[in-house]
Amino acid sequence: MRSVGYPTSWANDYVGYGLLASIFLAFPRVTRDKGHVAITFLLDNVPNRMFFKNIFNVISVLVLAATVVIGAQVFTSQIETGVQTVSATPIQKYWLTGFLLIGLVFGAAEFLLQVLKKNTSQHG
Amino acid sequence: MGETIAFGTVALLGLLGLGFPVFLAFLLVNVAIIALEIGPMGYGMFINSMLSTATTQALSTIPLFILMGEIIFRAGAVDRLFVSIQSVVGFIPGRQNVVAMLLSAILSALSGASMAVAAMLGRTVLPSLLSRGYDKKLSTGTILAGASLAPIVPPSVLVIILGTLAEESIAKLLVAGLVPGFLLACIFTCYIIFRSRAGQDGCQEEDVECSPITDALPLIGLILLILGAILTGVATPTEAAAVGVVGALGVSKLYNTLSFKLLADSVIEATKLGCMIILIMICAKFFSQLLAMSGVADGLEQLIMSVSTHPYILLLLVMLIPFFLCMLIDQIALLLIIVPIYKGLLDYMPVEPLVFWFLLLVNITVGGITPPFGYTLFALKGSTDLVSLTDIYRSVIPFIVVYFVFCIFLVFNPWLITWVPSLL
Repeated sequence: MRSVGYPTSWANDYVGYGLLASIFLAFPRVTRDKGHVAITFLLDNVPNRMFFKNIFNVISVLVLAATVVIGAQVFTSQIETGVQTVSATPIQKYWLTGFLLIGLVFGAAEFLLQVLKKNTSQHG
Repeated sequence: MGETIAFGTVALLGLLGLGFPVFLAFLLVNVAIIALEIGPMGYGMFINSMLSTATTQALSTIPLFILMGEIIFRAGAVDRLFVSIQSVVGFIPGRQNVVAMLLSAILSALSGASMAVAAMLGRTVLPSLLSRGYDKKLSTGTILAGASLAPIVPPSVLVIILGTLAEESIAKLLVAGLVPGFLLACIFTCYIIFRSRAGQDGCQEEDVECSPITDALPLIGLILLILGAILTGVATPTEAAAVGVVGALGVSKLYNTLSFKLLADSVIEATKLGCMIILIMICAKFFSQLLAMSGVADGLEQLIMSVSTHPYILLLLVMLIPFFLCMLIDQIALLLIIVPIYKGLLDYMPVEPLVFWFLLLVNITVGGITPPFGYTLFALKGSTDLVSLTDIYRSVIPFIVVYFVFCIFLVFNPWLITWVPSLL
């Protein structure tokens, strides 16, 4: 459209917003599928590696929870101030933070489920 | 603050080495630094950094190129390409190895990911080569060398990440790989033919049913369409990637494999892979900002500068660091850590920024196939039990030597890198 004289000024911004939404909405699914990249040479060669993986999952839940707490405070302040994105087609910033929070909450839940599943399978 | 961030950098490397997911290692260090040093003042900065990276329009190129590759692979292009290339190189000694090299070079261009190409060819082509009696080491090395072209031959996912981080033109970086990538593929092919002639080891070169070369033309046309759109300035890399997706659907239709399931599976896989890659960037961006703000990046620059001020020695040093680190750390994570530091060193380099970043890309690529910990080596080993890790290590050494010599050649002949970008 740009090349033939019909610039779509909103397109760049909405591609960015869509990208953010898709990343954070896909995050829980990637976590469930254990699709996150990690350097596992060491981990694969230690005895009792499930124990360490469990610890990593617990730490992951805690880190994501801390990020959610920080994000929630920023989200509240964004609603109060009504701050918008700095772009040609601005939107309320809390929309973006909202997607981020949804992704992180469900992602943390997936890590937690992995911990619980492992514990259940060990005891069951 | 500088000490905390320096400690955070060491902790980050430790977490990565221990096997912590890369994005979470960055996130953990960021949260810890906010809690220990910055406090509530840093909350807005932290979240805004994540939001601004996640809405970077240039990064949408990554899932689009992945989607294009997914559609093409699911459309059955690999098999068609394999037999088509055979019909062209049927008269060459060591033909199947040459086919594997050309196939991996084209697949590298289509997928942009070394590990994916190595794993795919390890599953499909390597068993066929070994069953025909081809030399195990040469065949394994061929696949690894061909796969290692992925980050260099455009379009490449790693180039988009590098261009975004280095604030260099992504279009120029993308097309910069055209001539060096083509030359490397030619050099590797010549080496394979030479080795095959020197040691004809009774391998079977029986005739196989070849599909016409026209089967490969839509794929080559697709690559040319994307590069043409970028080179002529008609489209940005993101727009070219979107055109590539439409083109891939067209190729799939031509092959009579287009279906809703193919499209849905491709979209889901591309979304997951794109999410995994961009999430690392989202979490690492704030860490890069902290490195710059705290002066740690300046300190590391000074440390490197203290070794030597001679431009070429400095260049050698800054290229060796990522080369060795890449054997231990994921390529994307490594780029996220070193690019902000290296940006400050550009003024002291004997080559222009585009050449410098391209050389860095080549180094990281070679690191990925260098024993003992190169990532791509493990991707190949994971895909097949037909070769041992020792065979894989030995197979790749000649190709690494070629890469080293080629890198030195590029330093003194930078026009090979800059010629095509200068046409933009």
